[in-house]
Amino acid sequence: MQSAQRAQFLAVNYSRLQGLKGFPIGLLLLVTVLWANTPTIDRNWVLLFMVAVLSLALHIGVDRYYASRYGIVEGKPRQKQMDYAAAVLGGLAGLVAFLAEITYDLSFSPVGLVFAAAALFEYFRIVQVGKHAFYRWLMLLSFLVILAASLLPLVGLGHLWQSLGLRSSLLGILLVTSLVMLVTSLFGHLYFARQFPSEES
Amino acid sequence: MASVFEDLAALDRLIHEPARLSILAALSACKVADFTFLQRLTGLTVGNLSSHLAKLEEAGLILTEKKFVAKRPNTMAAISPKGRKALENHWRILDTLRKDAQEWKAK
Repeated sequence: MQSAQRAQFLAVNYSRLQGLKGFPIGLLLLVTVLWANTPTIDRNWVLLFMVAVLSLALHIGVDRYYASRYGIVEGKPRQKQMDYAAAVLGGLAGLVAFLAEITYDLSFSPVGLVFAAAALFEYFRIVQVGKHAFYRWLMLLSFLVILAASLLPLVGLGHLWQSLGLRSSLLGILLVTSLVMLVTSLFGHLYFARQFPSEES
Repeated sequence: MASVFEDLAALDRLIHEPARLSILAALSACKVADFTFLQRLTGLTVGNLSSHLAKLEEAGLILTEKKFVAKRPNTMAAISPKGRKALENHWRILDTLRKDAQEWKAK
């Protein structure tokens, strides 16, 4: 029964569990933040373009890796619709948060809160059934780290980013988010791989 | 007490076999899955999995389609309407069995 339950969990959450898919996005975000943090006159557009191309190549490579090593699962239409809806809503929320962040002088980071909410959403969505609690705690930790970073101005630490050499708190939030994405993508892959039994000899 | 054994007798052994139950459970939760995923899921060898899939297909519980993916042959499998009904019936029998066994234990 437990293996049947695990089989359903894997089939439903198959593409969400493929942690390495987040690595190219995290890498691109990290490089973009570091690039944006350099003075305008020193920015290397070629480097940014090359990293974007590398991220795209990595994304394609990761996709092919999962397809050849773990197989292909196509979700039910309703599930796909819900995933698209969640992605669109997330994108809209991110856009609104970004506009709010650059327009108003707020004592918290709306962009950070959107990323924190996304981490919490993933925690509830993915880690309910699978084995190995370490990833569950990592997702919760991700949420707490991004939330804490978003609320720094509220506790009088809004200047922390500037003291770390970052030009704005938005860059600071995105830096934290990109590092969290890189770490969770690697551990997410470990979690995913450990859901599958070892093969019969 | 007799109903517990009646429930046990009603279980479909074709579905109840652990590997086949995992296969049907996974296929019931998605539109279609390929051979590689089912093999990783069950941990079976290629031969064993092929045998289980053949039995399920022969019973009309799954549908399979062989196609080429990146120039390599691949088998895609999906649960059939008959298979979906059979699986739901199987879960119902297991639930009833569990409840009957608990009543038996209480007596």
